[in-house]
Amino acid sequence: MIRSKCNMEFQEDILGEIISRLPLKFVVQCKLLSKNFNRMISHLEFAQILFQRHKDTSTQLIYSNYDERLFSKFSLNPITRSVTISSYDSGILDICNGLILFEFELTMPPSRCCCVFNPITGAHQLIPFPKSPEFELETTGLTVDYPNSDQYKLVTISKVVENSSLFYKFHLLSSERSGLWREIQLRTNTFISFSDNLYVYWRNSLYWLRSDGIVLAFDTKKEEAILIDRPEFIDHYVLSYGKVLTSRDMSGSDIWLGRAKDLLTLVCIFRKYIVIGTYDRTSSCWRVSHTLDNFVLGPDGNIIGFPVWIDSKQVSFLVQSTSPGYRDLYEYDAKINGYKNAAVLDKVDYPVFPSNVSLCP
Amino acid sequence: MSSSTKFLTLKTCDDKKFVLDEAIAVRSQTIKNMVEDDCVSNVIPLPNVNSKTMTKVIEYWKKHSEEGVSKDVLMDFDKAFVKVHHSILHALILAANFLNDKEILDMMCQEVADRIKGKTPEEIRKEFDIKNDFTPEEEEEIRKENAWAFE
Repeated sequence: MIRSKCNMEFQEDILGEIISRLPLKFVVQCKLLSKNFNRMISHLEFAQILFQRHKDTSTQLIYSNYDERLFSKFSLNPITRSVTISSYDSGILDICNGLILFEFELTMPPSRCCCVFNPITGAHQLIPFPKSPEFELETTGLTVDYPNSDQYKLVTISKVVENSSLFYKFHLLSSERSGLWREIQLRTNTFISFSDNLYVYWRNSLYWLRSDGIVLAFDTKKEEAILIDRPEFIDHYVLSYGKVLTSRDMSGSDIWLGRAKDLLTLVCIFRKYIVIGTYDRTSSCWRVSHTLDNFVLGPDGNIIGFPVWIDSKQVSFLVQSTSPGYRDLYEYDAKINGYKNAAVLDKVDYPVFPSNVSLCP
Repeated sequence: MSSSTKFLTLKTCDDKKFVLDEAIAVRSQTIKNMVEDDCVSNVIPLPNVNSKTMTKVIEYWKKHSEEGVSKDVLMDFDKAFVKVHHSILHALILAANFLNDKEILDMMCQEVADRIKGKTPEEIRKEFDIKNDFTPEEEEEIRKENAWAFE
């Protein structure tokens, strides 16, 4: 075979390899190359390659400053901060695989509404919450399976009173049938309010931490709910090392639920120690994975930090810095089997949402 | 396993032979599989790779197999290695793909990506010899759907 041309002809898979290494904006521009490229780049298989490729470099921390209508974004690799001003009074409820779930009040007609938004593509969808006089909305969860599929689901949990008993009630909305909330025929026989924690999406299920330390899990595929027992180690540590602490500062929590290194993870802060536990699905119980000296305590004994969950890493912490307004980012270092100060960030408010970029439509 | 050095003979498409330490040649997953499946008799034919390209690949393999080379030296070597003419870059990617050497393939694809970054779709089409089969209306449609990327 003789090649006389000076250009490069490649099979499609190699071209995919090359294009996936471009910055996202240029990747999308390549849709214009030809019909084949448009198909390839829109394909979920390519989305998965892209997701893997951009996972480490594109991790961002996003948070909102409620009173100032500001959304701030920290890119971690390298550390840069950018601020967006919102024209609505809206709060971030959650971020899942690059999609943001906002909540806000509509004035005409007056109602609460949520919005699923992709900050990269600007695509968004407004969804009114399920409404009924008989129940009260407790919490909303967003699940995005991207890049495995480009569907998302919303789950709400409401408080229902019946015959003077309290229940949870579940509603589910799938983007496959947009705009339609479906009530799940599922009830728990008790009601305990949720902690002020963010919920976690892990392997098809949403996990909410209750204020009693029990975790409620809702499987979005099977549409089933289970309760995970309060970790035994909490009581053990309370007995040996004194009470779990509460913070006046951020979320009022001393137990946090999150996802780290693709494991469901609990961070518990005791007077002397920070205990990190991971959930073992086969035995349905919590195991201690790390016990660390407490480094998130202020001089007056209050908690002055909170965990930050970046999926590919062991849980990190943001701790109030000695210079006011700043926070130190503590990251796990396997070499010392402990935490060290990795960076200083400016004006970060709780909660902080880790995010990856997504081209999910 | 014997500790003595085993050599393999590779034959490129232009009939040139390369005698190479097996431990180095197995950087190619394709060759490694052949060795493990015991289907290496005497000469391994590489019908998709020419001698000029193979010389470059072996140069890379040898450098990266040397003992006691510092990271900085390797980084400088890699930097110089990718600074080649289009045609060689192209041949190296095809060779790395055939030999199934992810390291070289990754590096070369990144280099091509760096070279086309910021070029217009028209320029990229020319580079890769891609035929534009969109009508102007279809093209406009894609621009509209992905407006954020064309700002």
